[in-house]
Amino acid sequence: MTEQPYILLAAYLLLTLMGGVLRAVWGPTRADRMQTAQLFGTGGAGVLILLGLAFEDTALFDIALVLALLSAVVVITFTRNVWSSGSGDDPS
Amino acid sequence: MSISAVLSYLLIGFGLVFFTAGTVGLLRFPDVFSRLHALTKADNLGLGLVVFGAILRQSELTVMLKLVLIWLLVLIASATTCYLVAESARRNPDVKESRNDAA
Amino acid sequence: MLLDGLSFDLLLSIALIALATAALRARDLFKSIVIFMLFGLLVAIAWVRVHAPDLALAEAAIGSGITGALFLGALNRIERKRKGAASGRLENPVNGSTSGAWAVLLTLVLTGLLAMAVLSGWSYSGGLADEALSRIDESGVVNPVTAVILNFRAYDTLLEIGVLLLAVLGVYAVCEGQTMRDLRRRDRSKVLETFVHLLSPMVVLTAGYLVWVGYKEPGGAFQAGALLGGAGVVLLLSGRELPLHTARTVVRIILGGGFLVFLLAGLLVMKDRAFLEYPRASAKHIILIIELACTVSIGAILTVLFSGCANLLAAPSEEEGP
Repeated sequence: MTEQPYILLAAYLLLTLMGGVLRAVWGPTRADRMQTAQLFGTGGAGVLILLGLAFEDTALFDIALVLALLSAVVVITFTRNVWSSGSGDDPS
Repeated sequence: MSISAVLSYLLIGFGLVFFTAGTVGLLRFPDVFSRLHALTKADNLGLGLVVFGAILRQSELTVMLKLVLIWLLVLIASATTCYLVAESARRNPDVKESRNDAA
Repeated sequence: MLLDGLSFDLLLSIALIALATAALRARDLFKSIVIFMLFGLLVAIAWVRVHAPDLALAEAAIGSGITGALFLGALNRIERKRKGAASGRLENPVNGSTSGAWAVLLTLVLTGLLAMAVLSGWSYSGGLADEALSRIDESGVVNPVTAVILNFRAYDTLLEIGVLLLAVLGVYAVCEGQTMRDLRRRDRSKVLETFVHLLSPMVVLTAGYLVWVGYKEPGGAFQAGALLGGAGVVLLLSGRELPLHTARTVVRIILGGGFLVFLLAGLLVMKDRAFLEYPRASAKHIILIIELACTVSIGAILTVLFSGCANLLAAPSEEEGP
């Protein structure tokens, strides 16, 4: 298994994602928290692609593909089911 | 190191810069809408550069196409979710929009 | 350079613990749910790091798609019921409770024991892995995970599909007779519908690809089914009226089909063999057929599970006969 500097790049991306978690923790609205979920979808795909490059394992690209396809599901559920029009929710 | 490797690192490095910009925007911008903007635009570009860098190291065409497909799907999903979240946030009475009335 | 891998793994481990703690400690239940979903994604990456890409695929498909949707749907349902009765914010039941404190203590103790075991030089003796790997040719597939799940330990998988079927029957039992929540005019969106138009074929294609590639790469029925389930959720939320009620035969066939095909395959080979012992020559084809049936079933089951908890199931209408 050849490891290359890609894994360091992946570690950095992971660090960036963890930075995004702060938004999930701070809020203040629910949309803000959901945005971190969206970030993890895109960034997670990025991490998986970088890991795939690091270990020369193209199966990891398949996982990134699945993530890319499904990253929208949760956010759509949020906008249509939880935060639908006029639900006047408590913003936190 | 081969030329493709160097180019790959370079592109991915730039991609990570954009990812960083996206996250910093997510953390520092004042309201939901501008954060949304930072997130979707910067991260899409970031992922695009990462994908481009990854393609340079691949030998099979199918894998390269798969990578491009991942990026396209993320673009479509981001655009849709960005619109939907912004629309929902607009209609929600509790969301405050910070205005920069420079005009 | 070992250091590279170590830095990533260390960061990942810290992140996992931090997210898990944050999810348990968050006061607001919604916040808790979102952080838990983020945790799920990192778990998928963790699976990759311990050389289990099939599990990572499953975790990514199920965690980022269905689980999140189910949690949010359930939260929505609870909030609707509570509207007016209590304040809008739902309290996280774990935060600050004594049982929560005991759970944390237990977790720390277990982690300590595990760390002791790993660090004491105990090495994995391999279990049945070597024997299974040596007999892979008999299974009909090349991917060892698929071989174990769909052939050597097919009984397990059959029962798992059975459990899913039972779960969906439970949902029907509880939700029977509720009216479809009409998608409000304002919730219809051209953007969403276009997205669904673009996405659905891609999802079906990818699901088929995952089942096919499970022969020699990570893939398989559960992952593909979870993908279909996620797509089903989005279809429902975009206002599509899917036939979900058991009054229609096609629904019954789709939901039960996976389990039925699996069972039949197991029984039909019993002429001169044991239950579920596929003949070596046709094992590959039998597995493929089973997987395809299960994929469709799992996708439908997950969609129904979501529709139930999100309160979207319709009552049977008059013209729909059995």
